[in-house]
Amino acid sequence: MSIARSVTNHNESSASGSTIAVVLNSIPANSHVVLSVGCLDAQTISGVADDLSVAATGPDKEIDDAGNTLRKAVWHYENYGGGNRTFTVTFSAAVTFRSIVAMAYTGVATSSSKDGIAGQEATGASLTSTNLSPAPSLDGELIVGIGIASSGVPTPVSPLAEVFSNTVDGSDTSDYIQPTHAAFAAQWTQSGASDYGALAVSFFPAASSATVTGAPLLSQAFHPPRQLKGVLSMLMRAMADGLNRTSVTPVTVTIRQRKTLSPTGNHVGGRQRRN
Amino acid sequence: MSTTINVNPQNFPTGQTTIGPANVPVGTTGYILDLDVSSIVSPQLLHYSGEYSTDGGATWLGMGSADFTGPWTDRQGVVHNDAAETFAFGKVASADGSGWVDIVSSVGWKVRAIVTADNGPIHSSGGTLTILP
Repeated sequence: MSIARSVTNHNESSASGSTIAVVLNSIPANSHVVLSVGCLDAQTISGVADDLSVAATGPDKEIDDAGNTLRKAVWHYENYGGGNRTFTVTFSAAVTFRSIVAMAYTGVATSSSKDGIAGQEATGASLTSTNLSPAPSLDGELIVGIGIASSGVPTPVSPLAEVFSNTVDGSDTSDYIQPTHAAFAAQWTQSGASDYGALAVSFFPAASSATVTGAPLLSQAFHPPRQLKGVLSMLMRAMADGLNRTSVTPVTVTIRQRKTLSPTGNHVGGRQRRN
Repeated sequence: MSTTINVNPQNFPTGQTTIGPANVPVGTTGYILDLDVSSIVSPQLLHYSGEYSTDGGATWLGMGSADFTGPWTDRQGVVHNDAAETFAFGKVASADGSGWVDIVSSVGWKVRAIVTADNGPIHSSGGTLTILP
């Protein structure tokens, strides 16, 4: 199951206040809700909670622009119940330029979902979060980025795609589903150089396969039942190793040999994935 | 090609004023509400809320909201005479998994904007509601 964005909404205000809220309707069950929140740098982001008083996890990453004009952060809920919900950000005191962008995704890991983070405060016309650390390690990870500038309006650089460009504070919230895992830095451009801040957070997809480190490499077709014992052994080993993303529905299985393949095929260490 | 609907000059009284509903051509992605706010002063505030309907106006779904205080001053202290906000239907993952594609309108979709004024009346010399292609 690949990640997909289902519903989004936003609320932003130039007025002074100590909270700001947004309603997200028709959230699918077991969603991953990501919140891009911010305010003027004069105050801090105290927390995010829904109308059931369930607190969000975060901040996954928080950043100012280098000129200390704005503050932005990413918070999230994993394995969220769904329905129609209101999310409220609370700030340390009344503050202007409050904003919240809420995004619900399906297909994200339902536990321990956060992978890497990145962030940078600098000055220039090209904004970069620098590379996510750790780098994405699974195909299909969700990457959410926020670009803020003291005077400019950041435009995301492909493959990052804009979710919402805040009118009030000029910030940009974007995302990207990375098909093949690789190093990644979220990038934006703006019309002229100014102080900026850029951040990125990556989340694991809900995996449909177990991965066991090992290479290279002997691939062969799967011939049940001769190798079934080996495959089951491999999956048991993966689970024992604490790899909990093991919802396996293989159609075709590729076995990559780490040591030697016994004639019976039941001594297998390698990578198994759904093709 | 975008469709632009003119918003007449008016005094927004304290409370809600609905702009629309407007019928949406098939294949569009949202709209921009752009109003003159040159006369808004402190402590007045205009709150925009975007909504759309996929069932001819029976039910309405939120597209986002924004507040503009008087005078509408950006984070650099620049005062603006108009306040524009984009409201989109959203995006979904593309079929080939390579990125996102816009949600586009179907037959019978409508949009409307709810403008709420605090400490009104707030005079506006008008504006536009532009349907985005």
